[in-house]
Amino acid sequence: MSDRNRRAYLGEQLTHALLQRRREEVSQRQGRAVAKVDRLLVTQQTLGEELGDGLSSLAQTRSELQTLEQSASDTSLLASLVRPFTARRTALARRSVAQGLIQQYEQVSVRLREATAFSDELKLTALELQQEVDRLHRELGEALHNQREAATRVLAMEEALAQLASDTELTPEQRERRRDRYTFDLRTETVALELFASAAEHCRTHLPAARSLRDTVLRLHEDMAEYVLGATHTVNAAGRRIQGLGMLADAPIVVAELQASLHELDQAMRATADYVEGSQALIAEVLPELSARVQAQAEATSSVLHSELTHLDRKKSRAMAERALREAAEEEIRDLLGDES
Amino acid sequence: MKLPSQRVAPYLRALEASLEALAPNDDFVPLAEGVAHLRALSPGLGGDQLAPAEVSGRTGMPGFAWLDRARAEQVLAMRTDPRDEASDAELQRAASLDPALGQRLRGRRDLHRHLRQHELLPALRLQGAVRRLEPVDVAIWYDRMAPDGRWLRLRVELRLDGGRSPLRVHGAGRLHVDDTLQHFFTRHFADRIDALVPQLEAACSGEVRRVARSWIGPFWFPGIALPEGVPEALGSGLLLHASTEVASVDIEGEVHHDPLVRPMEERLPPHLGVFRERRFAATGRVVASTRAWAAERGCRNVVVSVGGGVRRRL
Repeated sequence: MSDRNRRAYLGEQLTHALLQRRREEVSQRQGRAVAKVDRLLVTQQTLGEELGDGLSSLAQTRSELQTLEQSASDTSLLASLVRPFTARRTALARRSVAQGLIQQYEQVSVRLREATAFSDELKLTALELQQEVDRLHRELGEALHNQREAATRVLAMEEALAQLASDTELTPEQRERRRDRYTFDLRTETVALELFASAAEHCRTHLPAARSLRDTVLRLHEDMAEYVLGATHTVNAAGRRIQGLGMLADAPIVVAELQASLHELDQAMRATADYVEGSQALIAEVLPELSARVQAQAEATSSVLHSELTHLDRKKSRAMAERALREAAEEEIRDLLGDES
Repeated sequence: MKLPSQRVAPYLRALEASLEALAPNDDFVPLAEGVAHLRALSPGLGGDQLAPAEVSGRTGMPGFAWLDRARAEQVLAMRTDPRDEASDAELQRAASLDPALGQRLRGRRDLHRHLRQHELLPALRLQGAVRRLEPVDVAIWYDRMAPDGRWLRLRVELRLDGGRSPLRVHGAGRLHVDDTLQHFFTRHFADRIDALVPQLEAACSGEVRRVARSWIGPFWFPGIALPEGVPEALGSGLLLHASTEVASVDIEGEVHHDPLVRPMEERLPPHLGVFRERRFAATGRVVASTRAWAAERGCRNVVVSVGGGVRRRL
């Protein structure tokens, strides 16, 4: 095969050291990602619980408000007799409830801001993990292209070596020189082929873990974003009503409006409970599985490369080249069929 | 009412310029806190971090929930170590992955920087100081975002009589203010001043020497419902109010220069006089309209003209 007919290899020139470095980098990145996902899961659960607590406090204050309202409208004889002695205390308690509501609202509001910022952090992490998936796909694409090219070259060298024996136009010296050349090229390309095959395998191995990590964080982000959206609506509505308290705190209409608004908190609290339960499931199930998978892959692939590169003979290299071309063809068919990444 | 996003920045600029034009004194909530709070809400600083922008349809002042989001964000900002904030390179990287997210993260970082450096208006706050030890004169300030959106300061100067009081002087002039007093103010901040004075004297065991209740707001602009009897011309531009009512031993009789409030019969102790006034910051033709309206009601009022920079329609 003449140099003119050769297609160039894509990407960096692949060496054993480079491949080893890539493997280590991917393992490190995935290890860091797992640790980050771990931290994100814990933060998410804490935030969910704290928001739940804040909403519960608001709801508790609402029930105190209801009790006061009921006692104020109690028309029984006993209540009428006692009221002059408790009116001042009731008024104090009622106004304290108003102030307490503002302070509790502020706490919930802080948690909500925290959750909003956390939602952005989750999104950024998901994007970074998608970038890792993209990188692995790009490297896989390059490796497959290069593997195909190396396989073509290996087979061409084999062919050239086979024809050399029957070429009568060459002098023995010329034949010997070409044999040396072709043999050297064949061995070089065989090593390259093995490296590219190994690189492709490395990408294929790490892609599922990278996808799992990305999907986990995406799920966290989707859950958190949906939750924050719902909670924001509820808390804003409560905030508007709470603001109205104070100036007209004794007007029954305000209390009624406030209670109508705070009723929405029940729904928010139920959503919080579901949400916290969901994050507990993630922590209990998804994370250990992810960690185990990443760990197993790192161990399984760490020492394969070196052993594969030893004892390469011509028979093996030919078989490898043919297998590489077959796999490349299969890969193309999968691409054509739109196999999901 | 929610402000459309394109009106948020002009609204905040207008309110800030009006506030600065009025230059409120210590009887009002601190100007620096008000300005810093408005700047924190500005989309130019933090983007849409603190959206939605809600204002009171009755007073035109920023809504409690909107203002509170800035304070909540400040709590987060103060918890974060500035050394851990995102670098320009990290933000650039985030923007390359998702421009909207990058913009949001940059907005949050810039907002946090602002919030770490400035005090904001509180939802509720009570502070106090000793003014004199013999006799014991103290001053207390109660600041609040009022339910209608206006910003209130109730400033009281008292001479304590040594009885049981939520105000206690410690050591060399440090004043301890009991929490119950904040509840008291939250209960009574809007009472008539002649009802407030005896309640204060009873609650604090002392004599009120001066009490000033001062409000920033309302802020009228097209779209805000004006109170009954106010000419529509006053809502055709921008008009920010700063009103104050003072009962003090330094005032004789009653002076009334508030065209929005009718003079009322006070039942104050004879040593206290009352002074009420309302100052305005206005744009364009609203300046003349406000002066004419005040004169018609027999009041003399300061109407400050706000610079041309905020005359654009909100």
